[in-house]
Amino acid sequence: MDKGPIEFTDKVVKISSEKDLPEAPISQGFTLTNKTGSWRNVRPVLTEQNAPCQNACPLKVWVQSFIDLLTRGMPEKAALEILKNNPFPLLTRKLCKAKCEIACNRRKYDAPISIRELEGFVGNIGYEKGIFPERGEVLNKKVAVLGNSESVMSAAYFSFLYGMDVDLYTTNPFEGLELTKEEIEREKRRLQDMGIKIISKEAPLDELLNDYDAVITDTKEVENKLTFQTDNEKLYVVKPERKDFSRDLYFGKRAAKSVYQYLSGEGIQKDPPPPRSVSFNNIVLDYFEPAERIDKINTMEDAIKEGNRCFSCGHCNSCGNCYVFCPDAAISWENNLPVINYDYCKGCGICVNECPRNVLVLVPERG
Amino acid sequence: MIMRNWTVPMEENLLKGHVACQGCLGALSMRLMLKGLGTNVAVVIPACCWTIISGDVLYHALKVPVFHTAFETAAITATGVKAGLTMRGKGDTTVLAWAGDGGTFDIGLQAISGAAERNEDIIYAVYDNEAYMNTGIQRSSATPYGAWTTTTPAKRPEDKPKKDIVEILAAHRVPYVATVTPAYPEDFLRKVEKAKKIKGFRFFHILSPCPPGWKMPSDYSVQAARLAVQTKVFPLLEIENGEKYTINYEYPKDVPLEEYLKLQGRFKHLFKTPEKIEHIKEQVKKRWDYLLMRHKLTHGTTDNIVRKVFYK
Amino acid sequence: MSLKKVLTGNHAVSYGATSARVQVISAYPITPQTTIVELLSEIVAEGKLDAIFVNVESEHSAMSACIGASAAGARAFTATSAQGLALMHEMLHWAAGARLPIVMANVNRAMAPPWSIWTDQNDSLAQRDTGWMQFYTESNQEAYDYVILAYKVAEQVLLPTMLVLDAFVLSHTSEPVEIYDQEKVDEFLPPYEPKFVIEPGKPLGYGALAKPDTYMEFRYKMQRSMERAVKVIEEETKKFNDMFNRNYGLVEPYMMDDADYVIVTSGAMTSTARAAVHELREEGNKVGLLKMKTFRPFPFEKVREYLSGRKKVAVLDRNISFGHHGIFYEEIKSAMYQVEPKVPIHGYILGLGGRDVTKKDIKEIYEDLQKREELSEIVWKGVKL
Repeated sequence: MDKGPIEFTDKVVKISSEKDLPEAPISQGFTLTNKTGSWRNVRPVLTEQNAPCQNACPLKVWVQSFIDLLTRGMPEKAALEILKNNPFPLLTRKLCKAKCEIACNRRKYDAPISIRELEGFVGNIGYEKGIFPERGEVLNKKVAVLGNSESVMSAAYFSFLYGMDVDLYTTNPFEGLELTKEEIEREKRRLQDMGIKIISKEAPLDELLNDYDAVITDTKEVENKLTFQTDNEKLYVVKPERKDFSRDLYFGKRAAKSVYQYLSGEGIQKDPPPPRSVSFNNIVLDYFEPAERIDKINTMEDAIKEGNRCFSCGHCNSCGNCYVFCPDAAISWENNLPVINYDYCKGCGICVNECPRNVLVLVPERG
Repeated sequence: MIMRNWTVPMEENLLKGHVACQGCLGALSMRLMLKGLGTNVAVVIPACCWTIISGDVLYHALKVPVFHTAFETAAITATGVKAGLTMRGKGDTTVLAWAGDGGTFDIGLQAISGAAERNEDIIYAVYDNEAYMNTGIQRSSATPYGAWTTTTPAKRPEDKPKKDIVEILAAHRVPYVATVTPAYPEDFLRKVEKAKKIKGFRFFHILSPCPPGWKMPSDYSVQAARLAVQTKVFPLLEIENGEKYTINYEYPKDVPLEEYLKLQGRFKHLFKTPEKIEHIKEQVKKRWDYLLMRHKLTHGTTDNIVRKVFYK
Repeated sequence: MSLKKVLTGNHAVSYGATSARVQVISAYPITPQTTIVELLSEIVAEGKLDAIFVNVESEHSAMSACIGASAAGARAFTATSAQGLALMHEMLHWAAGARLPIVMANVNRAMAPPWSIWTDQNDSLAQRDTGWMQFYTESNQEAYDYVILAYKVAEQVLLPTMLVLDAFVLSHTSEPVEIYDQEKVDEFLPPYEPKFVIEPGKPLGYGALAKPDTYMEFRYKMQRSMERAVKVIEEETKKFNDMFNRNYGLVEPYMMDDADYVIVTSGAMTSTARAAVHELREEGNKVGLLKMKTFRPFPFEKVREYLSGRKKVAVLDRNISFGHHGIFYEEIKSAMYQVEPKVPIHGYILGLGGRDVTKKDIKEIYEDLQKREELSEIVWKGVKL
């Protein structure tokens, strides 16, 4: 009698003769045949949105993501995520104004996440492992970076990541900052380790402009703070303001981007304003336990504990609410992420309402 | 890590394509119940929303068998199924009677009382949406004080308190009575897993918000269930052998009852008669104090009640 | 070896259920049925029958428990009377619609008010359209035999079956009853093998909502099964007769061969009628008797076969469909409507609420039948008004 395991299919039952219909009123197929997705007039969509911390950060560090990676048990990936946008997390740990923490939504709940500390602690893992973010496609273009300021150091770092060959002409790196000799040496060594050639002497700008495809320097006054390109399209000038360490690093990052856009032929474009970030009102607080902020992070345990406080605004951290609360079993869980089956999703919106971080949003169905 | 917030079985025994309304927690409750019970299960469903939800007669919405029966007979038909399976050497099967509040609080109560008194070895679960929703929102004895239904119009809303079904079952001294709601899925599953191991009559009272019946948008139903617990309108409890009371959870902050009421259109008119809201608050407090007293009698303390913001 | 016991009709039913090896029994007490399940509960308690006995809180639940058990594949049995049967009404439809071969004994008892505990057939006949097969028994031996036969038929055509016996006249009156060898009964009635069953590993929905595009087809199939049941009853009764030396049929004729006049009866009053017919024959009257054993499915062919060509027919009804007539009368008349030449059929209402039906009554009806010319719609026998 037994025909092996039951197959749950969406086969349509056809009754055309007396023998097709059993005597008793029993089912012959499964409701999978009902594509209840057709009921929907709104559709839940899994999005990636900006968090206030991220928008507040001059370097646009993807805080939600690195904390997510850290708390998933992937500290190296978390470190790389930081290093994609922040060249010197150990220096920012000391010098950054941490506008992210002022913006942090959790401030309105109990206390903001110790982002600066976390970023430093996790960034340090990258230092210790000697790892760097993946470099862009090699352009075969040579860039000279000239000067001693943090903006220039940052420009060198990002130029290299953008795929350009970088010669860094510096006699006294990180000049004028309250840093120890060891700290400076460590960062210098890292720049060298990643593949930047450091030349400890000054060089005449004219010569460099002749020898290189582009030059970034802090030895002149800044003209254009949006792209840092000067009248000479090969010359880019950055100079720290010394109001906000991270903003000064951003100058270097932006200049490197301009150089890349110039040399790759893409054309220099201004950065668009960041999308609006997830607001405190979008957070479903019932899913968060009040927890004391850990101001100084010295152990991995502390880091994870503090990381777990993060609302992860706008970034899916696989909490599972959407899966658990779907009355229609229309959300499956694949590779630790929700996958919505639109053949069956009725668009009730529970997953959106229960998403604690505004990752799921409802959009109107077309047509 | 599979999910950051939850430890729930990934086993899915509710099939897609069932025809519950959008945002139906009656459907979600079944989904969770079967995650907990697995597939060595036979289900008996009397007249209720699930008669429709499970689909056309030729189709089926669950990975376990379902026998549909008459309105007032869930408990006894389940008893019969258990007896039949036992005689056929399949006595280890969990037999689940799955009924709405009408079929439980009203028309089915006699058969429930009979099965409970005889301590039949079944699980009886009521997914309570607090009115006859399948027939179009008529009041049942599970309809709470003050609620609008089509037979208790806003001009003369429900004027009786909700029947205390849990105490009725407790008075039968059955081994296990629990209240759950899908807004707290792990609490739900913990209790299902516990009940699964108990022999005898086990009763689940599941608060199961109904967006059309409660006159609220479909995405609010889990939130409404959560607020019912937070405001103590629906305390999460367990009663063992009719005497051992445990309050599982108390929300650590005071949430005004109005937060729960205002989510639902069925209570809209109440805001014109604040004295009625006060009356509900008194009733809620009275019931909570009674439960605290019973909890203390059982445990010697009330300190062991979980008081967290995020209770699962 | 078979065994002769002196048993009441009720206890004969209990033994019938035991011989049929029922697996789940659920019942609620009601006079005059109660002693059926009392004895069964004893038999189960003594371990002489491997069954679960569920003591429920109402007849409605008794039938529901049987429905659950039968849906789970077990052989289920219950017994009731009158008010209890009426309370079951909803679930009788359920058992039949779900195609569950449950067997129930109904001890005919008049419906209240006024209260009565004595026999008439209005309780069982009011369940005419529920989709149950109905057998009306005349003796305690029949009551025993028809429990076994009922399961044999029911499990083939997947329809529940009610066997009916008269309150007190059979239920509480002792007669010798032959109880068969279990092995022989097992040979006739093998264990139940359900075709549709609720059990783990078989994820199916049983009885969910049928829209207008499928409901009617299920009803069509029920009727087809009822039609098929006529043949199955005939075949199984023949096997039963051969095996256990009985002489049962869909209907049972007595002295019918050359009868001009026929008296049609059902239930226990048949015995009285038989004695009366016997005496009338001795007095030289060409009168015969037809016993209606099977009411559902209705034995159209047999009724036509036995009643065609007679001078007159009297149908005796221990029941009444208010506003119409006796129910057997209605049905027999309608079955004979297309038969030519027309047979005049007269209906007599008698014996309601347990009023005795005597030989004298039967003879008087025979006298009346001979005289009666025009078709009177209803004839009351023995009303003291």
